Amino acid sequence: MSEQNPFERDEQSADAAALAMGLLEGAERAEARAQLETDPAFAAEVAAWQRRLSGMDEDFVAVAPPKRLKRKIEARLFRRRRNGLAALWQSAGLWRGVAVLGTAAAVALALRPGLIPLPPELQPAPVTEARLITALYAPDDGLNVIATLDPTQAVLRVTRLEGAARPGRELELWFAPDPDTAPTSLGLITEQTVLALPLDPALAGTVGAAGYFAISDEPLGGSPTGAPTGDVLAVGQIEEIDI
Amino acid sequence: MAASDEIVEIEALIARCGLKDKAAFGTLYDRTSAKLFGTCLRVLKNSTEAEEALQDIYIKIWRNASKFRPGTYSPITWLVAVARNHCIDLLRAKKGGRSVEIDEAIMLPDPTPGPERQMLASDARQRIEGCLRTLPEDRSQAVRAAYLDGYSYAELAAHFDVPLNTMRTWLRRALLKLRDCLGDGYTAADYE
Repeated sequence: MSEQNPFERDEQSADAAALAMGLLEGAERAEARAQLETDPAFAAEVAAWQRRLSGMDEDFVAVAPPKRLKRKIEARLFRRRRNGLAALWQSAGLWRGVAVLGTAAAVALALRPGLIPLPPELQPAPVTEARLITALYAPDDGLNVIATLDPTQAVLRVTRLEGAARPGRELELWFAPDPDTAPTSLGLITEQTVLALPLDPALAGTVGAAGYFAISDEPLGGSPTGAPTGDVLAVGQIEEIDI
Repeated sequence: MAASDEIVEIEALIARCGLKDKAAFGTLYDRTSAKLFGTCLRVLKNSTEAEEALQDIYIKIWRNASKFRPGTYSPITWLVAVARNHCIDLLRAKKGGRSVEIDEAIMLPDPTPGPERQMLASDARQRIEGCLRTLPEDRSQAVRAAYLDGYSYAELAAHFDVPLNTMRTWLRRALLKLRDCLGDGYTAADYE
């Protein structure tokens, strides 16, 4: 926009205002939206208009929505396959034999791998590398853990936002590339808020959007069998995020 | 809670939603859903549609939280913009136009200032009110109806009984005048 004359600059600004206001319809609206994606100067002017106009936002009077809406939204976002999957994980006996056989080959991961303590506040920098992310949330246990993986680095970052192991027990993190495959232990979630777990590259290659992470309640030292033995506290589907 | 504390808190919640933190999403919803539901009701003027819209809006917020860039504008501005844009999309997608009489909607009185509104009687609001007062009365009414009620150029032209191109010229001039009055849109609160 810097090379435009004042008239063109005003035209551009008025177009940005019209988009920010929502005045446009049909093809005009579609064109302005396309420009928003491709023209950073235009996008900046639309953002400036959103700031300028936001003084009117106070006229949008807060009205509490019906309580059921929150449940509906959370169900749409989070419970698509979770209940059935959690039941599958709970029947871990199903996999016990398989998992023990597979342990030596598949789990190229030391329990308690190199732990890199980071400040307790979430740092934005590591997150921008992450492409795959999983939220593991167990409200009943107050447990809230996020796992992010940058596939190019094969380092899984595990951020424990809230919650801890039950007394005398440990939290063990598991991964399955799809619901039909036995889970692989990724190690214990220690007291650190943020852990960086190096993954075996072959294993990291199988971490994709069809996969799941889970956290189980295990005896000290972790599951003795190579499969979850205690309660499966949280199961989270892996999601790809836009950066 | 001071307005700037609220901004910091909401920014942190959005950042955590960007990390797919479900607990943060629940808190963000609790802290902001009344504001966004009020926005939907004002624009759509239909509670069933507003309820549907609110669900879709929070799903968009969850999916786009990692795109929010603090510093561009306040997180509330971003959330309200997501909600407004979604509702306006719904209105524009309706073939036969909206069912509510525009006159009735435009004549809705402004809400009485309640405690919340007084607390948040921000610099931004005072500035835009001051700038809107520099416009001719019908122009400032058209700007407010477009922003708060989601009316298009065509709907406003019909309401004010002027040709479409006249309405476009009115609003474009009015908005550029507002821009000169408001500057880049940053307020002192944004820098705190």
